[in-house]
Amino acid sequence: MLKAGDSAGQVDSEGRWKLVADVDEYYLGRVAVGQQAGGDGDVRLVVTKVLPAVADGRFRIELGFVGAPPIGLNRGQTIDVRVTLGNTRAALIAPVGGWLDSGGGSSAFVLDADGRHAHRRPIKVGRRNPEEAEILSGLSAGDRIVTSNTAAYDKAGILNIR
Amino acid sequence: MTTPDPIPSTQTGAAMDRKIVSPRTANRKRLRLILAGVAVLVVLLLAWRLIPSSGSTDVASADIETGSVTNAPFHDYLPVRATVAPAVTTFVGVVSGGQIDKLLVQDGTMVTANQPLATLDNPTLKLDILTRESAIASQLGTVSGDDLALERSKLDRATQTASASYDLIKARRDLSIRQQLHDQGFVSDAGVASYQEENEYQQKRLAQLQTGEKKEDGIASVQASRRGRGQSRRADRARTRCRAPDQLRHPARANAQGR
Repeated sequence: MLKAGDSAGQVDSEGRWKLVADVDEYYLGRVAVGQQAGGDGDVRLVVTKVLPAVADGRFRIELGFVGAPPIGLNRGQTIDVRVTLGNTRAALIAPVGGWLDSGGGSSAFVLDADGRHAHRRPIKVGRRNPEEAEILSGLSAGDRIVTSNTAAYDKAGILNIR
Repeated sequence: MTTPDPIPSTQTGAAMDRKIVSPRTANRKRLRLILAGVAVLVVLLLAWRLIPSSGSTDVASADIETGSVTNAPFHDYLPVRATVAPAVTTFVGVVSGGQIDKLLVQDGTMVTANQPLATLDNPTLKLDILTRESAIASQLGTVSGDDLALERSKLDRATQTASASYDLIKARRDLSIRQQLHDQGFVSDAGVASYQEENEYQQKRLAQLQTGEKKEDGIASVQASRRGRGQSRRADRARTRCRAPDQLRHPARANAQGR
């Protein structure tokens, strides 16, 4: 029995799509409406909405297609999308890994030339993406660092590698 | 500072060798001393390796991963896994309640604007409409009574008008006779005046009746037209229909919810 005012169903616009994505709250200040994004197979997108309410450490963004959306999309289908947050620029880059989680990326173990020892060095980490982190200070090009999780060696200043 | 230690001990061992005559025991002693020296060396080496400085930890190289720091362009991007959703979703509301009588469109079918999606059946609404219809019928009965009264009054007026026009003719004829007699000198001025007044009164009476007739005809026609409209507006809407909303200007797909 439907009462007056009940919702009987929904009608969706077929062929006109948007994309909805949940993003880690770490990026809340960095994602903005109008940012460009790309997807698989030359799909061009733009951020149309940022819903700032955080649920389970994530917030929601909506993306619209620039031009016609690719044919054959279906509701609920997932697409990998890269949202461009800033310009690409030259920087000192270290691979991301567990080492960034221990101590918030405030220090790194730098390997000696012979690879037998690693010394802790204070560093500063800038922007990150899933593959690399920008090093602002503390390291120089050519340094080798320990990239796995170093939480177990919290107290140590030097690692003896055997 | 610790490494020089084993060397003097081997030297003293060599000095002792010279004094003891038996070669078998001497060899054994020398061997033993060499072994001890090597052991001490090994222990010292290990100690040096183990305690290079305070606050260091041993790690197996298999347990850690290393990577090198390079100068390269940094791509400032954020990868997300996005879900495809329709750009516009319209919820179909129910204006008047009811049970689903017939589903005209299945889930996932393309629909156009104003296309019926389902038929709802509502017995209460049906009953309501029947009640109203009977009320309208009773009102129509009243109206036909009014019609009758109207027709009757029309007839009355026609009779009155006819009698008034006859009275006027009679008064006019009387007046003309009196006028002729007055002209020939048989009747006084006063004798004519009363007939003149009678004639004027009858004229006014007829004119009044005629204008009244016109007005009443106008009112009657307005009532008749109103009645006609009321009758044509017969409510037959007990079956309501769920329709695709008007604002859909693009192909759309229906999706019934939870039913």
